[in-house]
Amino acid sequence: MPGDSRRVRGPEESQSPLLYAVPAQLPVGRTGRGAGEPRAVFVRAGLLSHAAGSAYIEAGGTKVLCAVSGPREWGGAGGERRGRLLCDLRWAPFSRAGAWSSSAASSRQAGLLLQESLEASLRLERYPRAELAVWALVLEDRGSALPAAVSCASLALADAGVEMYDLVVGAGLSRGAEGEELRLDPDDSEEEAGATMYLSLLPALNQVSGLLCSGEWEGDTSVAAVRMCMEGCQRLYPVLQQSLVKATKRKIPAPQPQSG
Amino acid sequence: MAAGFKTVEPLEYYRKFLKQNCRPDGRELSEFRTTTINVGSITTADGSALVKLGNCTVMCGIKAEFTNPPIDAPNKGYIVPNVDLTPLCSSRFRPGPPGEEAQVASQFIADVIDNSQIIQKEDLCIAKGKLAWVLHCDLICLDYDGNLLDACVIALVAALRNVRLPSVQISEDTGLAQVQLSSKSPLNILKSPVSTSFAVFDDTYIIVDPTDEEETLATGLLSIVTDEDGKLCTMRKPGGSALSPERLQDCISRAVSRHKEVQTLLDEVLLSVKTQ
Amino acid sequence: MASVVLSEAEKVYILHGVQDDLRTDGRGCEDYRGIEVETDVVSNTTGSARVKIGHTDVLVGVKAEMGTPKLEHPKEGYLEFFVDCSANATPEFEGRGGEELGTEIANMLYKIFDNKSSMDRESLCILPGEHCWVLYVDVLLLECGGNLFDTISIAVKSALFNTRIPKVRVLEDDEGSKEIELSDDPYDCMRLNVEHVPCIVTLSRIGHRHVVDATLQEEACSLASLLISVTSKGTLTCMRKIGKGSLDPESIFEMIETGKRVAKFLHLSLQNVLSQEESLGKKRHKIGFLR
Repeated sequence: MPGDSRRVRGPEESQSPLLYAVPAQLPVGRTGRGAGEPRAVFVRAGLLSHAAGSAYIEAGGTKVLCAVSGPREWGGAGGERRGRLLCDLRWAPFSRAGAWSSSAASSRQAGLLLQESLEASLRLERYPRAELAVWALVLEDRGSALPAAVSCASLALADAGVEMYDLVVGAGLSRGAEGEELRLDPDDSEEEAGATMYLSLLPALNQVSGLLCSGEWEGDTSVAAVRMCMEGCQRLYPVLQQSLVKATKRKIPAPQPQSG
Repeated sequence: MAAGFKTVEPLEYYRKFLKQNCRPDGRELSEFRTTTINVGSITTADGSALVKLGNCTVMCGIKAEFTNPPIDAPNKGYIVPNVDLTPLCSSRFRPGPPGEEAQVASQFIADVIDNSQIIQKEDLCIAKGKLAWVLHCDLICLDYDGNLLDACVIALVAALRNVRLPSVQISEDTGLAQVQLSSKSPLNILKSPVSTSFAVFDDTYIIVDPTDEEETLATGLLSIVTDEDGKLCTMRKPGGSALSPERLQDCISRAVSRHKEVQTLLDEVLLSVKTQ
Repeated sequence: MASVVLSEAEKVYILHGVQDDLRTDGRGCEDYRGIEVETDVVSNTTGSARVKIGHTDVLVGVKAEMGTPKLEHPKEGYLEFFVDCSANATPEFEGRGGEELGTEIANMLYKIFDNKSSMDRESLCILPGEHCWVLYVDVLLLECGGNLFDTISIAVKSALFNTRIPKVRVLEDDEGSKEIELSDDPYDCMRLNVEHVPCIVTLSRIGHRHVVDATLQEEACSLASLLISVTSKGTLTCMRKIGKGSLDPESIFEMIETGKRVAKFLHLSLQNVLSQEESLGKKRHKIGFLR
């Protein structure tokens, strides 16, 4: 294998020490919060100095940072009159509890989901032949990173002043392997067990812009899960709005009363 | 008016300030931006630190893993730094494999580690010729605003001092490693190097801790890495304006005094984490 | 993805038709086009099937090979999916054009099999922790005429139904060393239980209604679709929204209902066709590609 001269060389292979550890007893069921209760969030918009728009979300241990660049000119293919949205979602190499994964594994699939979820909210026809780029980075993944990234990216787009119909809010949900209980905003250990769902919502318009679930969903559990996710989105919405207002106030100070 | 002047004649704009011994952001020539250090915020990493120099933000996360020791040095482990400059931190960077600046920064950090002997690589060996630690040190720039190298070195040292490794025994029956997550110990940090960067304007003015704007306008750059004994570890001066030995000596003295500032701050931050 | 360009008038025509439950080819909103299924079409695979729905044409081959089980599931075999978007299907797939769609479909297939009930993976295990069967499922897109996902999932299910894995036995001698012995009789085969293998139903939102099995023209009129993978018992194993638009929550619930209803019927007819074809045995008149 030819060496990669662009990086400092390390060993070819390495293994996580967790593989050799005595497995700790995982606590069964969640403690400290109810099934429909999301973790505490911290949201801040407009914190990066150079990006057109930016946002940071911390939900439990999950930390996501997002920057928006553009609109900048893009060649444009054929007769496409709308602008285009580019989404890149990466996990930092140290962001997961398990093994180290080299060179900020960019997940193509997650980027595509992010793009589909955001596209419905943007007025891309107002940016003909231009490109908007969203760069999201998961610094720490303690579960529900994708929904957090969607909310964060949407907030960053709003902070950048991109024309949009509504903010997009993401929510995650999981269901244990045996227990039928649905759990909103799962952490990483809850995410591993059984079925998971991800949903993104435009809360003011009540439109679902993204949906993905896997695992087994018997009978009407999927409908109940969708409803629960939507409630989770609605709960997060005012928090995002407030931080957006705060960021805008910071950017544009209130007019001083004219003296004299 | 000033904003227009700045856009049209950025260099002239700067000269006006430098003549008065100050900078557009209000700093003196030898004044650093506010330095903030946050340690251990990433719990998925074995050690982590977030460092801010004004707007310039660098996050360092260290993950320790098992590997085979290198064949030519069976009693050593690895420490692998990698600096990542993504489009997130500045629109000048493109996605994909590391660009020129990221490669230079990675190599600089690797040199600092080697030259300053932060830790002895022998300490990372668990069983000679069989098992060793590899420390993956990933430095990700979150907001790019000049003086990347200083921020990276502080972040690296802070994160290394934050690392806690689980104890490992080699089982005699199976020859496999047994990891005890309940007992963790810090690394043996021998030195803590600190980098101090300067920018030269018009071959005359020397300023410390340049911002992104200052770096692009400067005629020369200089980075000096010193350790706590005031010894030089690494020096980097990629071309540009020539400097007289006297002026270089001035820079080194500033670097030595900067080391003390950073060291005090680091000790304070790490102590506050411990007492929590 | 393969797409056609429609004028506004054409779109309105399709939209109005769908509103009145009458599509351009005479179907109702919940009707599939005629589905042609033929299994055992490629002789050097362990199992194969070719499925045509309208102009969409898909060939699936399954190859069983011995491998080592994954570390986290030592008692199970596993499936690997690969989707090849041939440049024959549409000019857009030329060069590397089809790669992205190929990985997307493959990822979707991994997702719908990512649970315990879709497939009994433990039956693929030969020796826990050491040997298992790995099923390489290769999908080849021959032609795209809309509704790719459904066609592929039907073809995958048919190919798995057709799969016959040679029987192996594990012999253990006195010293505890193990040996794997392949049965001498080539007809001594193991079959897979495909009863719970899910099928994907794609529901495309057009106007205020949704249609199943959309043609390329109808796909061009739809801004958002919902993919639902359902087992014969009516259990959802995967659901995904695709497309640029968004969906009303109420319509999602309606789509889930429709999807389940349509899938139940689809599974039933597919199972009938497959067992009917098999009952013909060697007398079956093979059609293959010469038609």
